[in-house]
Amino acid sequence: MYKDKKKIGLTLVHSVDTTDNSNNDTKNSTSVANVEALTKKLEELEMNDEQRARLEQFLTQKELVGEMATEDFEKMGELGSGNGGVVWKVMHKPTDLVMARKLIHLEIKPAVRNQIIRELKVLHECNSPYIVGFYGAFYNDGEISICMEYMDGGSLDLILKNARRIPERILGRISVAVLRGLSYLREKHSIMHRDVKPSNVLVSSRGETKLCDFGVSGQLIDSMANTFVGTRSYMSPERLQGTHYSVQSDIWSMGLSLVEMAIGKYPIPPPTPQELAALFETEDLQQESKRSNLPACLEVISGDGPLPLAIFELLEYIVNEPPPTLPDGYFSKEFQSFVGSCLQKKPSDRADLQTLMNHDFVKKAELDYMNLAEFGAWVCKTMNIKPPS
Amino acid sequence: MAECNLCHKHVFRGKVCKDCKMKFHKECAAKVAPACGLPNALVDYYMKQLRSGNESPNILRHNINHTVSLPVGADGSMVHAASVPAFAAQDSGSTTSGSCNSSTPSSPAPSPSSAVMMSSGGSMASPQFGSQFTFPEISTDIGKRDMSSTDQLSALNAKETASSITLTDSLLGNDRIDVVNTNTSNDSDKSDKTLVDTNSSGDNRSSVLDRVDSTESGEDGGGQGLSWSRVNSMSIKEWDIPYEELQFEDRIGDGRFGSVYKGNWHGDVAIKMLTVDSQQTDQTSQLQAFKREIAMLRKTRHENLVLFMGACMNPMHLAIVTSLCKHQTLFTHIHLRKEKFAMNRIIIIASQIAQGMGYLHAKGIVHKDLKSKNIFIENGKVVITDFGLFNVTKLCHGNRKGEWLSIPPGWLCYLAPEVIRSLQAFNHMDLPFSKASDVYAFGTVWYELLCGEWPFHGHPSESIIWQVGRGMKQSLGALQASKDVKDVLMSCWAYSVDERPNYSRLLKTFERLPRKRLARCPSHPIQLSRSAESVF
Repeated sequence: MYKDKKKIGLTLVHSVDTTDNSNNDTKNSTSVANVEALTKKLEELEMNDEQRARLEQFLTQKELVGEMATEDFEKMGELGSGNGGVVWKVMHKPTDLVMARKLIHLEIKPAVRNQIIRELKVLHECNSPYIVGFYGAFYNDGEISICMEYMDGGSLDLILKNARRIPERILGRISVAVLRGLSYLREKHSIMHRDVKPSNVLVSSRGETKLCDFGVSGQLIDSMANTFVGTRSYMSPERLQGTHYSVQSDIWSMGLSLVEMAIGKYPIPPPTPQELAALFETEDLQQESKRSNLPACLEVISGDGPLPLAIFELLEYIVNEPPPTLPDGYFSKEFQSFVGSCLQKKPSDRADLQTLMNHDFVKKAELDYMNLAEFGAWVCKTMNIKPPS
Repeated sequence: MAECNLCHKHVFRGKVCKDCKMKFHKECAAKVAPACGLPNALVDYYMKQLRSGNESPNILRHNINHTVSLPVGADGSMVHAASVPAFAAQDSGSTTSGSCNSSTPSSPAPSPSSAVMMSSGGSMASPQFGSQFTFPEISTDIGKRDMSSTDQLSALNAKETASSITLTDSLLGNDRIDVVNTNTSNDSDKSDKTLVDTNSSGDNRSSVLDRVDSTESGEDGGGQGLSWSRVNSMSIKEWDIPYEELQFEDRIGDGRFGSVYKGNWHGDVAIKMLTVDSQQTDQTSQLQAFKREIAMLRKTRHENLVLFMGACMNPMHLAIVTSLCKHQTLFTHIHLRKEKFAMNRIIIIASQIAQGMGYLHAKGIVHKDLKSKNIFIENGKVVITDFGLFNVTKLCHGNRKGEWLSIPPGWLCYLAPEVIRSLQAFNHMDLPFSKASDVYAFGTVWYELLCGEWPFHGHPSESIIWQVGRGMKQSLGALQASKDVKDVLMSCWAYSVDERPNYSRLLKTFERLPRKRLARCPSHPIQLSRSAESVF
């Protein structure tokens, strides 16, 4: 499976000595050289000056981080849990950097754990404005720690809870970022994400949108202590059926996520007309329910709604029934067409990355995208956080 | 209107003796002697005897030591042991000759248990056994007996009766005659109440606990009247281990329940600590479930099953104690040490698993969690652990809203299609495990033995759930084995519950499978060997 994929991008790595970050080799001269080398590589990527500057800033800060150890971290709060581990907001004391630290509990042999750390090192080379930054990974006392850039806006599923529904214009920006992130992973590293869903897309108050939690370590996937399945699945039909799959599978997941964020509810099974009407109530009512702090799960089981499906039933629905669509009358034709292209059950019917990048919906959104500050402001308003100074 | 037999005042609500139907106030009941005693006429007779100096408690004591032979009914029929009547002859005529001396008269003698012939009132044989003896001449007297005359009797025979009272007490063991509250009727009192000890054998002086056990093993007796919960709670005493007695040593593993420790309790044991879910509000039902499972486990004794030794019922420290399995699991051999098993060894192991599982199923116990991690190989002998405990555990961790089902690695591939189709994120306790689902799990173990890995290895959980739920099976293309071997796999993994074999059938199949390559010399005619299996 994944292990067979070759990583074309690896040859570039040798010229850049970032893989040895975990070895405590932080002489200033070499650090500067590293950053310069990376900068050159970054020029190959399409980004504007603002994005470039931020990435360079990140890399410079990262250089300061030597070998990481558990004692260096101080917990500041919990960011989320599920999917194999817990994520904490932490302070890396030696450098004063705020990070997100994902802890995965795994009792495994040293040989296996070293392989995982090795495979995770590939993350050092994943530098893109659309991929969440990676500081390093280490093993300690039965747990693997993956330290990442802290994104103060949180993940899109939390945003969705607060916003109830995400406006089409915002979703356009998000689509742009996800597509570019997936392209980057595919072109520069020949890997697919494998787990696109709202909780794996992070946003910041500065208006950035980044992917995280992609399947870079096959061994980690194999060794996972527990997997979690629940009331929602973003897995494509071909993957569920155990047949051959590719990056097209990620596109399905993205399309499904977009529909969910657009209507405010996981779209399988599709909402009834009554439910749709309720979801698209006036703004005032939306504000009211937001204030009453109803937990999201109540929307699923309340009142006369259908009983929660058994997991198998949900998966059967995905495989056998028509894919979800955006309801008429609430969204633009372009948006409907876009998700329609993503949500084709046969991977060959699905649009590929290139086609989607050229889609009208995306083209329109791209013009918007570069205005990061505007998006950042929306994030701050939705999540009630302070805009960056 | 009812009259209290002690104080002779009107009693409206009080206690009544189930046997002799005498009524007392609650306070009076306490003062009354703890037995119904003999029918009045018999007491009269006894008094007469006493006065004449023929009777003494010594004789009674003497009688007690006898193993009383089953007394013969008046009509010659054998009396049911349990219904040894409290009193003597049917017709006073035959007793006048002093047959009270002996305990083996042709007519029912005052048996030792009838040493309760003191005190008041009449009594009949325990109703549930029918009255073998009718006392036509005294039936009219029953109930009319005066306490006063009883008191007289007591006074007269203070010494003797005192000693007989003590005798009686010892006879009755821990029992106190329980006078029944008029408002309630309690089956258990049937047997408590008595004069008549349920068995006439001497060793029945023992405690109620033992009597319960003899009940359990199918003997008749007063136990029939006991309610189920009493039996259950009585037997708990047998295997309840106080937490303080357990000595803990190293932790040897972590399971779904909690941690397993090596320990010492009269020798090496494995102590499985159950993590009590503090989140769960309904802890009493969790405890009840635990008790029920334990009650079932103690019924198991088989060389291929781990020996259940006891449990700690302390809610803070729920634990199960079993004998220690010192060797390695099949999981370790197959997945960690990557051992390849020869066909004959596979069959030997599989046969033992089938034997142990067949026993469990014969006892009505569904394992629910058969997997290679629960199968130990100790010097070639298979020992299966963790049977029946699945319901005690909670699968739902992490997100406290319960939206996620936490799936441990290597669990899904053991689940039969009907079980997998029932998996839910919210409600996970009612999975339809059955004997057939145990056989499906066995099929997966069989696959592991043959191929060295789990079926659907590398597939994500959701994919396994969908494929297995649809009845798809791991492809066997890579498997090098005979048709018979593959047939075992396919039948154990049958989608339809009815098509899966039971363990007895599996055992027969294993016996038929060729285990070794027959080393025949080249000139041996091929036709003599079994055609299909000659090429292996």
